[in-house]
Amino acid sequence: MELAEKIEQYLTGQLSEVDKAGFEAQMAGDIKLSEDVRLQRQTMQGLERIVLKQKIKKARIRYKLYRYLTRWGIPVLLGIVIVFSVLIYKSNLGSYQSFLGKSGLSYHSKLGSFQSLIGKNALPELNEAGGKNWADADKNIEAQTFFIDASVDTVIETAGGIVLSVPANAFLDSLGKTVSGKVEFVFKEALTPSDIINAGLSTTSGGKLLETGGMFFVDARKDGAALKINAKKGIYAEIPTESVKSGMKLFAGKRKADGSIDWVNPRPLEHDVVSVDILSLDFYPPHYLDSLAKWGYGNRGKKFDDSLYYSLAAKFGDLSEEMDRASKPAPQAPASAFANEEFDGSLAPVKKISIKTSERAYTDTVYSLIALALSKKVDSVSFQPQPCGINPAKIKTIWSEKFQNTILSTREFQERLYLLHKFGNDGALDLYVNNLDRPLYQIDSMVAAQSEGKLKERFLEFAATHTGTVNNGSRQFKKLREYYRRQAKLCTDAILKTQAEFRNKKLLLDNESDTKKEKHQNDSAKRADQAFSEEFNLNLKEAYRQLGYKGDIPIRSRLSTKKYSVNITNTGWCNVDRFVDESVRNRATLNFTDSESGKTAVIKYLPVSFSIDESTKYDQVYVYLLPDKLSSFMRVAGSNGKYSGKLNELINYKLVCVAYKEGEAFLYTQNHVESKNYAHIALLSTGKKEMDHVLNNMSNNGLASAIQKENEFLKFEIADEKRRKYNMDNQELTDKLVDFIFPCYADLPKRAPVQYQRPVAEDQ
Amino acid sequence: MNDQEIVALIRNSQYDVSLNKLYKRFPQIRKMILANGGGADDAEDIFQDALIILIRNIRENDFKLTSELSTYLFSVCRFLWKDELKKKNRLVPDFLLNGEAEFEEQEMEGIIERENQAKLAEKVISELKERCRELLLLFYEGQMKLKDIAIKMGYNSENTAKNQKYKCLEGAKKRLNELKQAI
Repeated sequence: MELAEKIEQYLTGQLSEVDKAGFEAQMAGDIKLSEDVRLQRQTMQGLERIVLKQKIKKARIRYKLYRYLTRWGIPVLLGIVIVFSVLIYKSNLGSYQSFLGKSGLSYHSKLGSFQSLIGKNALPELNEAGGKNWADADKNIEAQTFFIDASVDTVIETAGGIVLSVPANAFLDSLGKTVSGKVEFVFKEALTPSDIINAGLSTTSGGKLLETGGMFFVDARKDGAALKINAKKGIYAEIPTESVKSGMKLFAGKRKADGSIDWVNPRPLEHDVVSVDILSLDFYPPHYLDSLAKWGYGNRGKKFDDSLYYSLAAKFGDLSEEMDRASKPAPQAPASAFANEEFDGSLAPVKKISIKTSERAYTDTVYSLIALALSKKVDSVSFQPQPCGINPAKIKTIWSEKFQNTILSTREFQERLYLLHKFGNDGALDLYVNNLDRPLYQIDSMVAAQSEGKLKERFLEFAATHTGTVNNGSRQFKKLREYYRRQAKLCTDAILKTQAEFRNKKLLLDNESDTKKEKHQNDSAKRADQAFSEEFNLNLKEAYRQLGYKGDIPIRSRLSTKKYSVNITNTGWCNVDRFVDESVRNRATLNFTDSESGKTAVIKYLPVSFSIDESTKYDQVYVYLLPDKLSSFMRVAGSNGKYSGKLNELINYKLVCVAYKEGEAFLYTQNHVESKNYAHIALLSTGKKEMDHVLNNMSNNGLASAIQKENEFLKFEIADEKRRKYNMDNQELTDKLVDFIFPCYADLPKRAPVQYQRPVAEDQ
Repeated sequence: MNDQEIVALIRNSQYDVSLNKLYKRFPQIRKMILANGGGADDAEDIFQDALIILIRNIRENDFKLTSELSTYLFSVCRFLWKDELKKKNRLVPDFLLNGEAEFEEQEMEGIIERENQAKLAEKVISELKERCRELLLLFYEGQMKLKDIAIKMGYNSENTAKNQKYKCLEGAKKRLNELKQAI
């Protein structure tokens, strides 16, 4: 014993330097002693290990608790003050744990806390319900008493490893008032089979045997009077388990006269769900983002994804109009009949716009999905407006910070929403939003009850997981419900309004551009007329000169040219006129011999061609010939950089090539165009002012301004084409989306894909 | 909180705060072990053992921090896991063999050996009678005086407590010796 004391002093560093040296010398000569010292050192290290392990385990609990890794435990809401419970769980914890902690949200464990574990298990006179009966278990299990401040959040870890989270102001006195200050919190637990047997507890419920793992008891008192737990706050208990078993239930204990406890009122255990940043979740319909990426619209950012999806809310607009229109068209009208009418993309009244045949392809794309929907509905005798799938406006409403900290801001809900999109309507979604105060699994059951087939199965599976609610989540359920109802409507209206505005603007722009095009075509025709009659007169005059005709030449207006084709006698000037007319019209050489005088008039048309270098890099290329004797200009026909025309030998021509690329202008000019092939014409980038200057210098008879005007229009036309193409792409994208987001639409007959063609430049 | 402060806290037996900090390294360790043939439980065990080794080293030796604590912890875990795999005659991934250790391998082997002895002792103690374990823990780890222990645990006198403590300790040592002989 003395030796043992010496060893101890040595190991705990209590020996003086001299004694220590002496003891070490003694050890060196005594194998038995040194072995004894070693054993004791190891034993002490073992003791230290136990303590360290406990500390580490607690650090682990804290770590997991604060990282919300709830998988680790089974949270149980204790709604009433006493709960003696059977939990079917597997424990691998040793029984030596005895550190307690309390205060604030952080643990403070002191070694002195041992005291609170040990001591007599004196029972108060009255039990928590005010009765005098106590079960054997009450007497046999040692109480763990914690003194906590009722007005602060407290986390308690019991000897058995159960972690209790007691929110501030969780206790009510017998009058229902919130208790503050020091509260005595008594906890009893029997977690291992031996604990349970020693406590005299049985595991029967109404005579039936339960598979059991552990039981616990909670009681809170202030100054000896039993307190109730505020049901709104609740105390959360996490019972450590290695594996969460399904079908676990929480039983309430009922003391019986013979001292045993019967287990009653089984309740399913709930898993808490953890609220995450709602904006980080994905509430889009299944495969929405995948499909966008597949169609080349990926990675445009959430703003684009959102606005595109929400814009579909317009499909859920005013249904009454849809009904009106559905009853109007002829009952037997096939889908194609609608192609004759212009539907402007949605449910607004039909607007007719004049569109030329060259834009036929474009008009075909304009008629909307609704027209298709109508044709289907007309086919079926009874028409019922069926909103199909979830209105995106509803998603827009819930996918906002307002619904943070509700069951909607959880990964579990995201998983459900994915399936909710597959319902033909949004009734199931409404169930979740209208029952924010309920645990998820209850709503899962409701949804399952209203569905069938695979969906029913899936929601039954969800319900079976007993996924609960968000701990300490938002309680503004009523307000949120109201907000949801109001906002979803407002969103739909706003989106409808925006789309209507967009449509009106689009119509306006379309009309404007149609007018412009019409005017341009008229102008071109007029110019062509003028050029024709000028050239005709020029040629005629020359022909007369060559033929030796004298006198006044009757100048005919080009407008009367059509009359030439009617029978003309073979004599005189009229005949010349006819040949000249044909020659100018066909730009073919005139070779006319007067049968009377034998004189011949020849006016040659000579071929010329131009090839533009790198023509493919420009959006548009135009080649003009500027005749010096005429007040008009000619656009030379051609494509792919090859242009060819005919030169009147009587006229001097100047060449102007203009090209555009994304608004930038390129120019090439040349005087004295000859009849030959001009190869490798290279255009140079030219500013607008410079171009004006060059063109004005080339001609002083107003041709430059006419070309400028023409160019302005051509630029507008390019932009307009882009605009229409963009609108069309959008429409196509929307149609594609609608097909899979609202599956009932997808059942409709598919429209043949329409190709958009750019109007072909016509020779003037 | 920097590494020096964590070390200072541990030397001062203030484990809670320092362990909170150290536990933040767990995901990294877990990832390493999962990537090298271990399971979630292995990760927990290895990490906890590494923490114990780290704390003991800081407390007992002239521990000099030559690298970041997290790097050190990672190295210890890697070594422990390699050791564990070898023990189970399992294939050791190259990653574990080629890593740069923050310590001498030999020294580490000595530390592991000592820790294995301590584990054995831990087992012995946890198999002791409840009151014996309580008494030893209160005395050696709780730093309580025998007089207070006597009052707390209901012994008649300080001397009884002392005798009892002696018996419990000797019992544990004897049992530990037996176990060691058996190996």
